[in-house]
Amino acid sequence: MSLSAILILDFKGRTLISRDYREDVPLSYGSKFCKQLKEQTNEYDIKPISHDEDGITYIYIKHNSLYILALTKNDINGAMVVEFLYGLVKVLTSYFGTLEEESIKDNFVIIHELFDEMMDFGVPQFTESDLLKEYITSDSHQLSEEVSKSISKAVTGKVSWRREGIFYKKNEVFLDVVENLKMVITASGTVVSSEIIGNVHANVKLSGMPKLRLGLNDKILFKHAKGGEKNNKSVEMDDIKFHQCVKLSDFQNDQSITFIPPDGEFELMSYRISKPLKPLFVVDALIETHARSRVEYYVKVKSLFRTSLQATETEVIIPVSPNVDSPTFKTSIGKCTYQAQLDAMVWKIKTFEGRKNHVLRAHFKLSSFSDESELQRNKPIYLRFKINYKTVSGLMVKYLKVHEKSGYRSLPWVRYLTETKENNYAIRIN
Amino acid sequence: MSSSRVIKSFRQLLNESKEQSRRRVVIEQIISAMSLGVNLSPLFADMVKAAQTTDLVQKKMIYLYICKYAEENKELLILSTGTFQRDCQSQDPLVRGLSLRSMSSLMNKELVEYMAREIKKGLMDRSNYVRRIAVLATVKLFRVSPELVLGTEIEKKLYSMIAEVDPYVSINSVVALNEILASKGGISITQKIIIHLLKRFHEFTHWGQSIVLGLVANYAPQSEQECLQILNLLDNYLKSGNTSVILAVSKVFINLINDLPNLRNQIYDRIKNPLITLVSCTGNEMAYPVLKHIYLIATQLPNLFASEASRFFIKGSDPTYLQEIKIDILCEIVNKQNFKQIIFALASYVINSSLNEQISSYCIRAIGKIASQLSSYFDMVIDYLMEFIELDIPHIVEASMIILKDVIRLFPEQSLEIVLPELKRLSEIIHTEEAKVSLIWILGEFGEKIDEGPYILEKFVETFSEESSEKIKLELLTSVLKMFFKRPPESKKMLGVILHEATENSNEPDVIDRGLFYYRLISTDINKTKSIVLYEKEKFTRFTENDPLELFEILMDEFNTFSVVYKKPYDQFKRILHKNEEEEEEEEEDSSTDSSSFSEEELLDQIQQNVNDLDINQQNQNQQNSQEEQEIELVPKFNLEPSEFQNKWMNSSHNLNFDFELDEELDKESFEEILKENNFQVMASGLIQSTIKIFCYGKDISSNQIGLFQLLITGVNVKLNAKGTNPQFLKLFAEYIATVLTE
Repeated sequence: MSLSAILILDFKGRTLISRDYREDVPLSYGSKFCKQLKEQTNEYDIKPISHDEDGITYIYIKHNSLYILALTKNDINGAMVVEFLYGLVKVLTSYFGTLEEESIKDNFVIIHELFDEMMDFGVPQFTESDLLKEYITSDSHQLSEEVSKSISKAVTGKVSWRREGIFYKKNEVFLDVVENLKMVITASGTVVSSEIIGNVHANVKLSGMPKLRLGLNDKILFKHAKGGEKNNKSVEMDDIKFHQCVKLSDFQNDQSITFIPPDGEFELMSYRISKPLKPLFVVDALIETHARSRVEYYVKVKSLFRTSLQATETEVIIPVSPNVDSPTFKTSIGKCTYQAQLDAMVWKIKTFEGRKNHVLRAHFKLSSFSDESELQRNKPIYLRFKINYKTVSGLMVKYLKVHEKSGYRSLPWVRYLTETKENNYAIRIN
Repeated sequence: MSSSRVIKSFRQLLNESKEQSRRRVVIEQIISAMSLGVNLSPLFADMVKAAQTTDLVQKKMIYLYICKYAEENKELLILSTGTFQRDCQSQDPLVRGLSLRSMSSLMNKELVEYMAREIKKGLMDRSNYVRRIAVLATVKLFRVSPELVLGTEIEKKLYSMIAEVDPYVSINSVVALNEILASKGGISITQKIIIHLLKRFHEFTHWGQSIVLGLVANYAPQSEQECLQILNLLDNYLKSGNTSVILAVSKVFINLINDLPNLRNQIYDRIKNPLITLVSCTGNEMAYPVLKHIYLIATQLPNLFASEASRFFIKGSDPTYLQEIKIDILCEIVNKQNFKQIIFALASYVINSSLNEQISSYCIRAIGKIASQLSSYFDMVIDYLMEFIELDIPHIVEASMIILKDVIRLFPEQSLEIVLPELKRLSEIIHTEEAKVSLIWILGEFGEKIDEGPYILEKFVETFSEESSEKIKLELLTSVLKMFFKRPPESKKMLGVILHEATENSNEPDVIDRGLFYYRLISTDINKTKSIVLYEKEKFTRFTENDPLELFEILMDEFNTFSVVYKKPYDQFKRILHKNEEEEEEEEEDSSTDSSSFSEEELLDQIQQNVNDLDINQQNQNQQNSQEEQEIELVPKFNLEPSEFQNKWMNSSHNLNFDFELDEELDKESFEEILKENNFQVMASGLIQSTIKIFCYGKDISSNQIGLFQLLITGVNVKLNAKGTNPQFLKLFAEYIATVLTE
């Protein structure tokens, strides 16, 4: 694994800043990439990993309107390079708030310092922004004995992701359990496919070197794990991934999640569940075309979750034929608008309570006679929503214990959220 | 404005600036200009002189500069050795490390002795930070003078440093040895080293772990028990949050299969789910190599992913490169159980107008490929193809006809039953070139089996003279000749017409040639001609674009490298760069003129501007006159959304606090009035007990910089908190606010 150079380019492919780590691939190859950018017709024509006739490999990621490009001439582990570039973006973002052309131009010096410490001779060193701060002297730094002490302290510990001597007046831990639901169901409510991508984000504000132990409820079972008794109520995870700090051997032995956390925000774990679950909403739609000159929609949305919960920012996106006009809507709740650029009507409901039915009636005129409506009917209805205080899988945090030798008290805060993104919750209508 | 002027003003500024803080700003400007591609090489001697600073930030920047321009200033380089050596003795490990890293990066033959001496010292340094830099510096030394490293005490020392407690030193030693010994196949991987590294695996960063896993993949365990131990230990790391680690573990597992063939299916089963999760949970750029690896595994074990077909269905938001590889995977994992599901999905992509044409054609080809793999479902495939053709969308018809032709070649007997009755209708609805060529080929090959066969061809012959496509003309000639031998009574007339048209009334030389050729052939020996034209064809079993199976076996050996992504072994895409330096220089010059870099003018303007700013700053600091130049003037109608304001407020990189006193007390309204008169925009304001709180912002006309600030006013005391991205601007901005309010 060794990269030759890293370049940050603006949206036109002009180099904003670059670092040549090995001097074995001329930086002028960056302009070759720029040429490719100009020749592409679609935004995504260039593959993220590609090579040219000289055997130079170009690996890039896109961030805002910047391209972060790595060059190498060896046959190396591509995933590692991409992961490093993601890491670089994360570090730069943590320094500048947003990473864009302006923030780069204003901070050449710090970026060069970061380039120095994150990678040496093309070999990644570390990408934890918290630890990097120890080496970056963006503000005035005079030589002194004191500094040298703190530096050696930072990296002698075996815990490479946490420095010593962190102090907070108020010791707190925030956990956000967010489940992203993807589901395809039929009009009758049968689940065609479903997938949950869950994340547990942590924001740790604790002093010293705390050891944390996280307990989850037993509704969730881990596949391949030893000793987990399976019962009918439990949901099996297909896969689970942990942050580097979690002691995987403990987890393997007794399913406990123990860790010494990094300071600040990080993603503690992520998981995936593909077992079909009960839908949260079902939608019934009736479409009647009258004399090919007007069309009527009757859409009923039913929430199936508990009455104590409510969905917020609910949006129902119903496809319509491209040649409709003069829309009129009647809703039992919320507001519906016709959005021509989507060829759809969008029905927005601010809060949708549990176990409720809501109805939308829509009427359109058809501007021209066409058979295309047949094809339109095959497009699914999409639903977007957020439900607070709930995870679809049923996963809950039972406890979060914090042990630190100074014995301070700490407060854990846990939030739950289920949400759908883009067109991930789809209802097929006939 | 020329670059020599910029250099001159930089030089002057460097010489004039005595204060450390001011010098630093000058050097920052030099680095900014260098980063943007201005050639500042002539400043070399001045910068070397400036290196004797005690300010670490300046030192870092100056060393960066020296490394960049060392090549062009070889004769001056010797000047810098004194500074480098002195810094290698510094009390501060950061300085020692910096100096060692920079000096070794120079890769200069003349300095090699200094370099070797300092590196040896660095390897023994008391700071692990310095040691880890020294370890990688040995590789740089190796590149300049291999004999100073290979087989020397340095090599031995590196082996012993693998055992160091500091994880970074340990990993860097592994990397260094691997590169130094590359010609001998890399670091010698002993059981001792592997056990040592695996024992402390948890301590390493993700990068370290990936590197160690690379070694383990090449290690041949001594016993089955050892294999199992490695397997069990690494199994946990399939849950790692880092894609690179997961792929590296997968590689180790796949390599272990050679030793544990009976566990083959179990091992693949273990890596399956982590890989699938990565597809849905990472960014597009990462999903791409992961999918390429899944594809490779699928070529070896199609059934592994068969039940997960829906994970590889494409999304409208997927970039084209992901859509293509997902379709490739679907073609590999198709089996009797998921066939309908996959074909249905592919068919829906074909007609989905939100996907691009390239992808819908790709899907049609995929459907054809699947038909060749699962012959029992060919009828369903043909149904879909016929449906596509009727959509009458040019690129879909084109691709579908070509595939239809291929499916008929694969399964002539069965598929003809379905297709033949439709040929007449098809001939009326298709318009595009390739589609017509395919149809005419089918007619020539099988058209005699239906009554109207010759008449369909005849229709095409009627328009032969108006036909502009050479390809269609050639295909038609051949097909008519074939038909003639199979259905002579109906075809005789048409053959005469087409041969006449081709030889007498055509412009295309190939058409004339083929017409004459056929004509002469027939006139020479009509029976021989028949046996030549209607020969027994070999059975067609496989699409030629299918890749050879051996390729995938080679690629499995190169798992977790670019080879898998490119679908070709390393030696097919590597090319050693053997350009000499002159050529390189030439190229670099080229690049400075093309549009990949900022235009010289643009840059110089900006730098000159920055340098001027600096002067102004300086004058301001020294309380010199010329007040009007430094003045900020705000854009009159500049507006930020509240969310934008909040975002900028939270994320600004620089912060400035400033306290001052007013001449007299004012109320909230008069403050807002004063601010508005001076083109500041008030975002929010309020009264908390007797303190007035105002959030405000403004944009400077000349520098385009935006400044945000909060005022807390109690009586005549004002607390100002300003935020922005540029510290110099922020200072001016804060002063300007104070002036506005006090006047």
